[in-house]
Amino acid sequence: MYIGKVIGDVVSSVKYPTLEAQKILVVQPIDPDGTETGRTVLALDQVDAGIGDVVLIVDQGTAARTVLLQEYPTVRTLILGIVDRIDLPEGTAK
Amino acid sequence: MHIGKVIGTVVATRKVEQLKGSRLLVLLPLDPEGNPEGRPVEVVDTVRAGPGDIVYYVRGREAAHTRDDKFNPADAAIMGIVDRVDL
Repeated sequence: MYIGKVIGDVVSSVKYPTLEAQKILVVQPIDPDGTETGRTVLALDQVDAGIGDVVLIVDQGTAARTVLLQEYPTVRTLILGIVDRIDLPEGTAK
Repeated sequence: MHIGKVIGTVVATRKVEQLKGSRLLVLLPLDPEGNPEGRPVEVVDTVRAGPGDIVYYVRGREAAHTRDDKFNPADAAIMGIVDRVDL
């Protein structure tokens, strides 16, 4: 799992049936200190996240299956939680 | 499995039901010699590890099997605390 910041949403009126009623958000992966890292990704929101939220992401098909409760999901990237806070004790990352 | 160092804890009150009760830690992947290797990852704790601990962790579906209810989306979990690596 990794964390990212929600920077947008995707409005889509024509979508594949397995994505019906799913909210698609644009997420910028970040390091725990907030530094942006890597490419943005589209993730299915499972926790009613919004723009500006720091979120917990999973990018694995079998993980998506357990949350979407679909036998054959067609996505692998989900927002699993909203991060309230990350505690990084001083000096531990060194 | 891989080696990493716990550098922080994640507090996420609102999360999917399948992750409720899991303690989430921030891990910095390390090579066996202790050098940082790649981006930090968020993992499920299983051994009461804390910031500063060197641990080993499993990635993939097997991480989910550490919870009583195996049908959950965890993709990384700590499997133990490293006392020492002899190379």
